[in-house]
Amino acid sequence: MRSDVIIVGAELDGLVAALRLLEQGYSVRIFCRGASSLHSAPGGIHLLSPKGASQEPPLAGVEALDPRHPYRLMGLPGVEQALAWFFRTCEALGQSYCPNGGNSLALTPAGMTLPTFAPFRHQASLAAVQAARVAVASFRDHRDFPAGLLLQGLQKAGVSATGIELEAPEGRSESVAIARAFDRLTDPKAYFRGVKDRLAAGSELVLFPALLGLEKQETLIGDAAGQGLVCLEVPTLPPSVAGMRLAFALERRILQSNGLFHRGVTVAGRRNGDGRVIGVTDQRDRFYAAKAFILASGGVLMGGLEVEADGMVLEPTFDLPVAQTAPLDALQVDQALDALHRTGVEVDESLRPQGKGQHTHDNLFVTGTTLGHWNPMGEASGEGVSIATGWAAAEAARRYLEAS
Amino acid sequence: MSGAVKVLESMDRCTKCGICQAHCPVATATEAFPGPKYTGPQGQRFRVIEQFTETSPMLCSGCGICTSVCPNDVKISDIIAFAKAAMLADGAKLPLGQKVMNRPEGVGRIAAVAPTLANGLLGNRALRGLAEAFLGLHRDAPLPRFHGGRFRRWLARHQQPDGPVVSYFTGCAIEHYDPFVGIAAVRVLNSLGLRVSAPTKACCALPMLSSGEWGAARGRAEALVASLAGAERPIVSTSTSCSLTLREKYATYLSMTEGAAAEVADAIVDICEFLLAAHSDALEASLTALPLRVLYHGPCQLRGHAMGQPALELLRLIPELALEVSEASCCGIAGTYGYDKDKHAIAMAVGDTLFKQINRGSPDVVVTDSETCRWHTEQATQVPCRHPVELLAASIDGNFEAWRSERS
Repeated sequence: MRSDVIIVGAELDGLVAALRLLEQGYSVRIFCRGASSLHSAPGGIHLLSPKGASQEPPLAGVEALDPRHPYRLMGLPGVEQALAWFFRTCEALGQSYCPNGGNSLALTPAGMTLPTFAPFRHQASLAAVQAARVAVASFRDHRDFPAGLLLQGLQKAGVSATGIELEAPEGRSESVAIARAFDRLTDPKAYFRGVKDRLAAGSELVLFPALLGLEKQETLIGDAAGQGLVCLEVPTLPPSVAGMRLAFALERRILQSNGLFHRGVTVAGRRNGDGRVIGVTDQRDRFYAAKAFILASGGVLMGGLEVEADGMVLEPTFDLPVAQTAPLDALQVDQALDALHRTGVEVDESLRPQGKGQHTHDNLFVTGTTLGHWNPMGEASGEGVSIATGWAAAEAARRYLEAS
Repeated sequence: MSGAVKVLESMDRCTKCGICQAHCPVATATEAFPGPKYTGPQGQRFRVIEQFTETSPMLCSGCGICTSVCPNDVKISDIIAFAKAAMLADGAKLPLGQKVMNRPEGVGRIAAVAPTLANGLLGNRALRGLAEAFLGLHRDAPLPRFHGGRFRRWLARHQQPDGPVVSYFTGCAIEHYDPFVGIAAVRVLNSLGLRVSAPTKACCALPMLSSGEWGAARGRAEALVASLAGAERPIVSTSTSCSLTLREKYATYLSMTEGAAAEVADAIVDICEFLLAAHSDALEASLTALPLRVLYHGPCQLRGHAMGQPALELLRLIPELALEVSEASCCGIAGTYGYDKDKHAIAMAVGDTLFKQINRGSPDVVVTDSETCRWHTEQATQVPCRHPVELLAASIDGNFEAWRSERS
């Protein structure tokens, strides 16, 4: 049971690394505990946002970051190459994004805004609704979309908005069931015509919860437009169909490219030798060998890092050194949250883990929230760093495989 | 720690993220089932505190997808299985047909007396209508044909190599319905120089465990463990659901964690898992071209093993096999779930993703590791469904035409 590369973790960073390696012809085996956190993601790509909307490219702010921040370690050209590859790849998978150079303010279901570098196609932003008369649609008995909060938020921002309650296809009421019922809809035109007929006169734009299909959203929104209904989507509370669309598209492509998933598995042990990782074992001590390894298991929140009772953080999969100056102190909530994110594995510019001034393994590369010195929540940079480091780890692993 | 405590304590890790709801094939198919989050960890709190009873656990198919996608290792489907067993212990009734299906070895023994007559009866539409009315067994549910005794008769005459011995736990499917898989398994193992012994005909009692008849299951589980206790190691299985039962469910549901039960749990291995881990090089060297278009579907019970998809890795070793991978997590039948007249429609709706993919790609053959998945999928799509070892055997022989006609 040998592979070129073993990836631990199937979050966005792990999926990006897997796909990049597979498309270059390497064999890849992925171990993951459960479904990825993309199931809770709003769907757009967040790159960096110190504050608010801006026409400035968000990466202009990189220079102000900690020199050990993943973006700075990789360097901007790498980050830009990674993003270009990602948007191109997603486009081919039917997941289109709309990067426009700066951050736009995407609407959240709570009626707030989130600075977003690349909203998914048809994702509602403040700019798109500002000058329009808007109807906020919700589905009967669906609990994961607080339309009232969204309406309040819009009205506060000076947008003229009214609510409209609709029946979901097949009368469904759970997010994913609604999305799948939309995918199965036999006569979408009639459905959207029915919605159009119920709209208050003068409504120009309907904001739907992002449930218009798990796969067919582009076609469905096109059908609605054909009936004179301009639709945009606002992500729901978790489980978030908008994030799942990306997860499903990447996972499907990985499967089709001969990638192997081991789901529900926590890597239980590892074998090292000669400054390298040789293989890992699962919960029943099955041994899996590979030439290179990518650790994409997530930070404390995803269970990739563990916090001991004394507030010290451990990396359990490969027992890597964690850069931490002081124990996490749960009583200092604000600082602890920032520290929780920033505490992680320290790496060199090839994303190899560092300890005592040198790298610990020749063939191990670390990505995403397992890395220290960044804060996905505080910087609104989660997807950006995941894509960039996933791509960079794949490149580093490829260079290692070619050289060895 | 007892199995029950381990399972029920895991619900404290639930963060209500809803990922299990999003992936539950039954909840996606029908509003009648509130979904694993509600029926599992959320409902369990009320069962403990208020003797809360509602019947949604009975609608769970036990496929275990929820547990496999949970990011926090909550044993969701096991929580629901405990709730189901508690309901039966409290006097809830199972349909008679489920009780009959829970005793496949008994049915098989009776039918073995006159298999032609039994198969004739099963194929009779009027009788299937009666069975639906009186047993609750849906008239279109995929009943296999009886081939009782055929595997044993073949094995008794079959010349085997004198190599190391591997035990083969056949289970009801091989003993009574699907001897061809057993024959293929023996031929593949023989080709590696291994000698096969099949120490018992007993049933693992999985249908009882998944429908909540745990009291009746215990005696069968203990008898099976006793009959396998002295068997040569490893003990291979061609059914991912039977092997999962021996490996984990006896310990979790019946607290059989000591002595022979623990030893057997440790010795049992899925045949593809075994071939891949111990013999993939030798096997690869003996495989010849099999120019077929194949769709591989990893059944839901395979996910319960949390070992990836060893059959898929083996199939990739076969030269000239054009392989497509199923995008569905479950075919819907989930063991014996879809046989119930009230659940058959749900099973068909769950299977829709798989059936559509099969109809789109129109493969020559669908390959999957679990027996009822094969029967259900073959009936729904009319595409032949086979076990991975049947393709390996055909590839070793280099003769897929013979393999095609073997069953007729």
